[in-house]
Amino acid sequence: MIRVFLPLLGYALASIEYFLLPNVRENAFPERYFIVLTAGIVAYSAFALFSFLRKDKGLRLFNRLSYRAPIFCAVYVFLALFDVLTLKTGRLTYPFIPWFNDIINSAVADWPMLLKSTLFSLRLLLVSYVVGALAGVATGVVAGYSKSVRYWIEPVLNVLGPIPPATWIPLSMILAKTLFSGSVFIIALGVWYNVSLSTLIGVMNVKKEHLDSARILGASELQIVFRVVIPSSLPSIFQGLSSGMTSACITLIIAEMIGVEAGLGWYIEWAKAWAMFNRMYVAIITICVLFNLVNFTLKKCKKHFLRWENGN
Amino acid sequence: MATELVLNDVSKSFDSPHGKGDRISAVENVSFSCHDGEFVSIVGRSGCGKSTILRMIAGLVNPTAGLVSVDSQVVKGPSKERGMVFQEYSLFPYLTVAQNIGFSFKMSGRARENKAKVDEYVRKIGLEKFANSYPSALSGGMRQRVALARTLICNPKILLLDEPLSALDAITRMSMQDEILDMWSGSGSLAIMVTHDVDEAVYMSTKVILMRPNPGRVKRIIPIDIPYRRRRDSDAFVAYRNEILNGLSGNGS
Repeated sequence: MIRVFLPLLGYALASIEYFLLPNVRENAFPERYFIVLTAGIVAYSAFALFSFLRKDKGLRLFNRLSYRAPIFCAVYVFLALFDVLTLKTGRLTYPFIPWFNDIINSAVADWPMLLKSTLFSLRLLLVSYVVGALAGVATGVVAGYSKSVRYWIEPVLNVLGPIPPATWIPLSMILAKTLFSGSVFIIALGVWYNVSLSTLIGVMNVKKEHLDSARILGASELQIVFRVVIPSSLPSIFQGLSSGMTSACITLIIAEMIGVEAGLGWYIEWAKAWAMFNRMYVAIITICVLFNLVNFTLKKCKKHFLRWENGN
Repeated sequence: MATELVLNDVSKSFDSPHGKGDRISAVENVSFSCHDGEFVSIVGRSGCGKSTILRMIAGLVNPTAGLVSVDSQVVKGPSKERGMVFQEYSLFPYLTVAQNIGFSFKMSGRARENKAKVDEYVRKIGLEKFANSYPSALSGGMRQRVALARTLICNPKILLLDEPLSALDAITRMSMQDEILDMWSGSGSLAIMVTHDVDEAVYMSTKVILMRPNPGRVKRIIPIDIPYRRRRDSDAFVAYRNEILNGLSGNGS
């Protein structure tokens, strides 16, 4: 119960440290960092209060929150320490390692470019992911069904499997008509590989009793594919979708760094070239947030579509 | 409407898993017939082709030789007229109880007009509270009741039961035997059950088909002439049980 207040302590520590210790460098717009700190603690408190007042269903939420409270507190302690090592003492060398308010300042200064890059990365990621996943499910189902298709597909999967998709990026830059379609192809390739392999395994492990029952209950071959084989394979398919997402994120950033002249990966390279290191940090934090959001969404989808797995 | 099932000199052999064109004979020259109102159990040691016979009647596999026919029509593939309940894991885990029971209507595109019928069957098996639960939340006995309802809702002429109770604990098993008997006698259809439990066969059947293994052949057909609800400790019951047990352990032809 008491531990739920820990983040407040961390917030106080970080704020006092920031305002009371003298700076070794000039710090423009000092209030921005404080606003971010405060926004964090306000969001946390609102959430805690809300879940506390909603007793019945909220209580579980509240307990989870107070279980995690020391971690939120640790984030503030880390921020305070980082600030001491950069802005307050200069132990970590500027400009290679900027202080946090400096990172915020550069994000505010360059936000239109940042937004454009984020949206570009997101679009490239989603388009490639959907293409790769659909192709993967189709390949897996067909190969799982037909012995002769499996005969030809399996060696292809086995040989291509160990090659990281990024290997193909330079080649696709030369061959593809547009950089965008070239990168879509490469990112989708990794997703396709993961999803078709897991779908194939899922389809081949569909229980015979399910197929027999469906046949007896009057399902046509097409209905068996869409109403039995694919839903039965979903747990396996989602494993491939998760590993496919990891592969897609890696390939996306590499593709943007070495070829595509847009997106967050390119933004990092570009910031490095101009020695604007604080902007690199902005892009890294944005990538962190973006990829976590994407994976969170995927997890939620998985939980929804596999809600039948653990009884309720 | 009368139903008659005839197996005429049916044989089934499979390719040997060890290859080289060897064939393994699962069932050889099996003939018997039965009709509606009968509860037939097929009993025998493992490897006597009990399940293969059931799968041939269902139309899931075709005999290598001989004919399976229902009302003079040769069985060529699966049909709702010959419903089947499997040992375990035959419910679709991603569908709720009600969706499982209504599966056949969904397949024929008549789910909406049969909603009331699905509700009726959910009530019949006493699972109203679980209508929207997934099979993972059910006990083994509940699952088999759902599997039974899913099959019976199609009004099959023949109900095929492939060791439907063998995964259940002894007490659930006995109460499920009564439940199956109630549903069967209510419908008046023909039921054919594969089991390796001699007690179960004597308790439930009007006729027991004794098989012998390698290859599977019919050894004897024993009609059980005791009125229902049978007592497992009655003299007649014990006598039938001993007769079947002797038939199973003996190695004569």
